[in-house]
Amino acid sequence: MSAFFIIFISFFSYGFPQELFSVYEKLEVHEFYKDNELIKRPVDAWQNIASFSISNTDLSLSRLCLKYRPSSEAKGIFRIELMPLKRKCQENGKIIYEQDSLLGIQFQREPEFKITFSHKDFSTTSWTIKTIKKKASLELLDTPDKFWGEKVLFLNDHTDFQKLLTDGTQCLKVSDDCKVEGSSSCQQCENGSLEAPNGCLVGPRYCSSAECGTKGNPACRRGVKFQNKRSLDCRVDMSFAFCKGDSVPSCQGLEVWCL
Amino acid sequence: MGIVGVTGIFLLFFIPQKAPVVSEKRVNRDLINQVLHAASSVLHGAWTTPSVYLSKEDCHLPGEVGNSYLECSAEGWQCLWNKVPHLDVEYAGRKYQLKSSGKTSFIRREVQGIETKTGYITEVEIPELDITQKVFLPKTCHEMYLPQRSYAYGEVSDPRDLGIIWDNAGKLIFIDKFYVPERDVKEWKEFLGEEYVTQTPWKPAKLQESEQIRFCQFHGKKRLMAHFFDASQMSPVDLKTPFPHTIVRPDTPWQRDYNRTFLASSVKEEGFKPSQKDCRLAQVGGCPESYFMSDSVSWMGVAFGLGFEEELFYNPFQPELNLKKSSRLLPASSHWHKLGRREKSEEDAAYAFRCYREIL
Repeated sequence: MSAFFIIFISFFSYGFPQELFSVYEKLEVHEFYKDNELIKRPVDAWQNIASFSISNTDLSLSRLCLKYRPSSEAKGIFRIELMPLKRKCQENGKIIYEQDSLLGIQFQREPEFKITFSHKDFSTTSWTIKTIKKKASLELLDTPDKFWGEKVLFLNDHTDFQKLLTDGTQCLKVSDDCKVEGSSSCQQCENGSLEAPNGCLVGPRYCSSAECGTKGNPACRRGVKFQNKRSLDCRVDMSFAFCKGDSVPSCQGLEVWCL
Repeated sequence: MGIVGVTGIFLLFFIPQKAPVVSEKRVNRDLINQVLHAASSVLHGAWTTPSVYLSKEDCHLPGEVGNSYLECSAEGWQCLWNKVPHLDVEYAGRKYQLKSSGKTSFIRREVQGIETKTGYITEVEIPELDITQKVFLPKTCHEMYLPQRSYAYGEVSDPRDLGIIWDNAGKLIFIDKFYVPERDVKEWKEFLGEEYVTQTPWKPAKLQESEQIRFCQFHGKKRLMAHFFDASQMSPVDLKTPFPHTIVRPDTPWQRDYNRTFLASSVKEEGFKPSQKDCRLAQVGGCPESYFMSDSVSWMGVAFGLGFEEELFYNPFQPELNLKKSSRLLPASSHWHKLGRREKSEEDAAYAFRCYREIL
C-alpha cells in the first residue's frame, strides 16, 4: 500500500507547481553556493535555497520557500513551502510540492533563476523560475508600472489576510541625518500617505487620508534644491515646507507639521 | 488500513476540488510557465494599446472620443476580444494562440500586497496547452511621470519676478494624463454599492471637492495640486538643466510666445473662429467637443492644459485660487486662457478633476 502511495506521489513530483506561474519577485537566494555547484551536503539537514513572492488572487503576496535536504545516498528531498509573506523560510510552511530520491540539486541565479535536479538514475530535469517584477529607472513619459516593474500579473488561487496600514502609521522611516531606514511600506496604506518634510531629499512618511498642509497634518514639501541654501534643522529654516492658508508650520522634532 | 488507504486515494482523485486558478490537463508545466511569460508582453501591449489591433469604430465609440479611451480599460479589453479571435505568442519557434472572453472584473486591493491598488481581473486561455490563467491588468497607463526638477507656480505680474519656485527632487510623482472620466466614477460608486448612471462614460466626471478627495484616495492617490499641474504644463526652457536659477513661465503648453498663438490672434481678429488644429490644442468656445484626445499633451504627457473643462485643484500655496477657468465655456479671446491663472471655485459646485500619486 505504502509503495503505491510513493509511486502516486512520485508521478506528481515531476510536475512544476502551479504557484510558480505567478512568481512576483525573487526575495532571497542562498549566499554560500556558487552558480551550478552541486549541493550534496550537509547531509540530512534542511537548508533554504531560495525564496520568492507570488501574486495571489486578492492582489496580496505570499512567500514560496525552496528547501533541500541532501542525503548520503540518492535520497535527497526537495520541497516547496508556502507561507505568508511576513514569515521567514526558517519557519515551517504548507508543503505544496515535494520531490525525493535526488542525488543533488544545483541552481543558477541569472538571467532567470534556474534549478536543476539530479535524479538517482543520473538523469537531470530543470525548472526556470521567471519573475514578473523588474524595476527600471524612470524617464520622461514613463508610467508607474515601469518603476514598480509591475505590469500584467499572473495570479494564483491563494489569498492573504494582512490588513492595510491605517492612518497615522509611519510607513517610511528616515533618520535625522537623512538615511532611509528599511524599505517603504507606504503602498500598503489604506488611504494613501503623506511625507512629513524634514529637509532631506526623501523625508519620513505617514499613512494619511488628509491633504498636505492642512491643520494637524504634515506640511507640504516645497523642495530642497530650488534654493541654494539648505537647512536640515526646521528650527533654523523651514522654507523647504509650507502650510495651507491660515495653518501654521511647526517643528515636530525635525519634521514640519501644520497647526 | 488497506481499505482506508484505497478509499483515501479514491477520494483524492474523485472528490470535486475547488477550481484552481490555472486549470490544465497536460503535465508539462515548465513549458506552460515559459509560454505564459512570453505571453506577458503580448498581453501588456494589448491592454495598454488596443488600437494596434482595432479602431475605435469597432468599439462603437462616437467620433469625438479618442483612442486613448480604450487604453487600460475594461471596454477596450472587451472590444479587442470581440474583434480579434486570438493573439499569437511565439515561444521556442512555435506559435501559441492566446484567447480571452474579454470579460473583466474590477478589483481593489484590500490587503497588503502588490504595489498597484486597483485594476481588473480577467482570464486568458492557451488552447494548445489546455490552460486557463487568471490575469491582473493594472490601471496605471494614463499616469505620467513628472521629472525631478525645479518648477514655477502660478503667475507673476512682472516677468522678472521669480514668484513661487519649488522642486520635486527625490520625488516620484505621477499625474493623471486625462480628467477622471464618468466611467471611473461609475466603477468606484458601484464598488461602494452606490448608484451612478451615465450614458457618456468618456466625459469628464464632475464631482464636489469632498467626493474628489474620496475618489483619489480609493485609488491610492491624492487630488491634483495646482503647482503640480503648472509644472506639468509649463515647458522647461532647457530639459538638460533640471535645477536652473531662473524659470520662465510660458503662457501656453505649446507655444512660448503668446503673441503667436491662436488665442492672441482671436483678440485681434473680429469674428475669429478657431480652426480644427486650434481646437485640438485647446478646446475653447466655438470648438466641437472631444474627449480622450492626445493632441494637447504637454512636454511631459499630461493633456488639457488650457481650454476643455473648468478644473478644480487642491492649492496649498493659494487656497482661494483653486479653479482653472480656462475652458470651452469661454471664447478664445478670453483673458483666462493662460497657464497659472486661476480663481476661486464656487462653493459646493461640481467640477472636473484629476488625481496624482507619489511612489517610493
